[in-house]
Amino acid sequence: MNLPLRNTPPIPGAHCRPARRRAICRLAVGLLLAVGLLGPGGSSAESSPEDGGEPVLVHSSVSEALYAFTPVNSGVVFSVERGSIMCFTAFDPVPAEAVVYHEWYRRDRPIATHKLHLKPPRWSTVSSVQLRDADKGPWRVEIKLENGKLLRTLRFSVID
Amino acid sequence: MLLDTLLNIRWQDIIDVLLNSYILFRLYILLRGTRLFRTLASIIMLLVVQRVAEALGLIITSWIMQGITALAAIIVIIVFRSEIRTVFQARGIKDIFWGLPGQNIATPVEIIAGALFEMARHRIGALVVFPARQSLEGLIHSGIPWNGKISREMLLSVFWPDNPVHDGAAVIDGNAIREVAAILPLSERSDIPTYYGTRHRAALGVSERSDALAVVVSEERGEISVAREGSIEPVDSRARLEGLLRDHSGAARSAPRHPRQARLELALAGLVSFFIVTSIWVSFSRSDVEALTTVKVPIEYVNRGSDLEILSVSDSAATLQLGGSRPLIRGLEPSQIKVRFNLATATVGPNVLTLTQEQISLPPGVVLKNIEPDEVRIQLDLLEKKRLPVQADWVGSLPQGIRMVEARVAPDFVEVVGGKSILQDMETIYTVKLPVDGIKESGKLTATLALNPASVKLAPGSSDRIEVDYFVASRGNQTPP
Repeated sequence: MNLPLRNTPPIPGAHCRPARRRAICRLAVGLLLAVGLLGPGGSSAESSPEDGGEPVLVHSSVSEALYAFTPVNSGVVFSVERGSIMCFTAFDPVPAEAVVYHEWYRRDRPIATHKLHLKPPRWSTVSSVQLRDADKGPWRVEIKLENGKLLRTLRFSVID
Repeated sequence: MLLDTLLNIRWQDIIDVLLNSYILFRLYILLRGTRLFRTLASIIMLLVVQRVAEALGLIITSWIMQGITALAAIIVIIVFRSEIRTVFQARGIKDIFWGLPGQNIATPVEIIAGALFEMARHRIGALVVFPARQSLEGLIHSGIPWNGKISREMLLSVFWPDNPVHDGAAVIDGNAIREVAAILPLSERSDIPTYYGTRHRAALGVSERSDALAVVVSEERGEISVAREGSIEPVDSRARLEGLLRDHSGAARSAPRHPRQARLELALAGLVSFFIVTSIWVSFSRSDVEALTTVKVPIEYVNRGSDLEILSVSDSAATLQLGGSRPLIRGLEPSQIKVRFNLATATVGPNVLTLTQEQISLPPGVVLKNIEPDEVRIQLDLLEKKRLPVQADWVGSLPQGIRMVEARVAPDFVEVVGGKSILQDMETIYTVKLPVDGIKESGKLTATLALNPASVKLAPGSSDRIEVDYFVASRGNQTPP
């Protein structure tokens, strides 16, 4: 299966370097996070903040596409005719640079594992898989930290 | 050849012959003197003719005889059903399995007839029952055991009006009064003359339900009536009554009167039974031609530990080549052959079991020539439990403009039991396929679980009914309902 990994660009503002604009950047990041990450339907505040320095997953969904850093048509049933689906995850906060994995399974059979990098202070990532006719059936995506800790399992079906 | 056969007799053969000889002998004891016995003898003759015709190659005769025999067997069951019932139900266990007919004792009909007519003259009411072949146990109630030798005075005293036991029936067997004051079943017929009282109705009742004969003395009219085979008739003369009693006594006692003659007849019957069964056994065992046959038998596995499961076997059936005399091979039934492995010493993982004579159970006289396969590979696994998440397995095609945004299952986890190696690769248990084609709005449905492979079972207490709540939204609308 074709497994193009698309680590989404960092949220605008995360790369603002000039010191003069730091405060404005932080404000912009905050606003964008509020609108762009917490806004989409599905799961917000999916795990509570922890003290161990681990990134906190605040949103995850499987969707048909991503538009303006927002998952489009999230759901649990997808037509194979769409050609691809993606798993979107957002973390806030991200205390330090970290790695998360999106592990894709079809009928308990591992299909793909995507290693995705997170950067402070907050980050969103996305991975996707291409769909063929043989990919119909029940799927799941397991979102795990580098230490193997399972953050969330997303379950969905690929249909006609 | 016959000597060879006799020298090779096994203990099972001796038991076989003796047991069947005894069964044949018992059948003779039970059925002798009946019409059923004579009819069965005719059917056996027909069978013999059919086998002879078959041996001689008379195809049509053999075919017709076979048909007639089968038809006759059915007719016998229909026509003689009451007689068969009498033989096997009316007698006790002892009579059926080991009882011998007792010494026949003549009924003193002259004394009885004389006493009954004397009672009629004195207007003394009486009811006397003479059982025949059929037991009256279950028909008569509350009788008082008497066991007194018959005499004129005894009969008169039993039915004397002041005697406490006079108001019932006396049961006469041979030359003794067995019971007095017995209560008989009453006839329910409506065409009985009105001048007949309860004694007449009781006499008729016992004659309807058995082959017994009952004599009634009417105390009102001083008249004697005899009830037999469900009908009742007045008897005017003593000679006529004696004749009737004598005839009935003859039917009840069909065995020879002389004890020595009776013993001789029984010994002869036993010898004939033994001879017939031995002949049949010799015809089965002694054969110049050895026949061969090939039988496919399912392999059975016993003594598997309760914590073990059979994951796979290389062969589920064994092909056996068997030899033996032609009648034995012809009569061989697959259910008589067992191929059975004892798994008491089998271990978890692959096991190779060698198939030898030890695992095969054959009927006596049948010899094993060849076995295939000569070994069976069996994979055993440990049974364990696992808790698995439940996931809906959607199929089909959603209507245009609709998307399913969420589906919740309840329970969301179930516990299953299965082989360890199977369960270690199972991370999810799915529902049966749930079509989405007709879904237009959010709703709820109930589904069952698809347990695959079939060896995986739900653990006790886990429900296989899964409630699925699904939510749909229009395409482009990001807010779940």
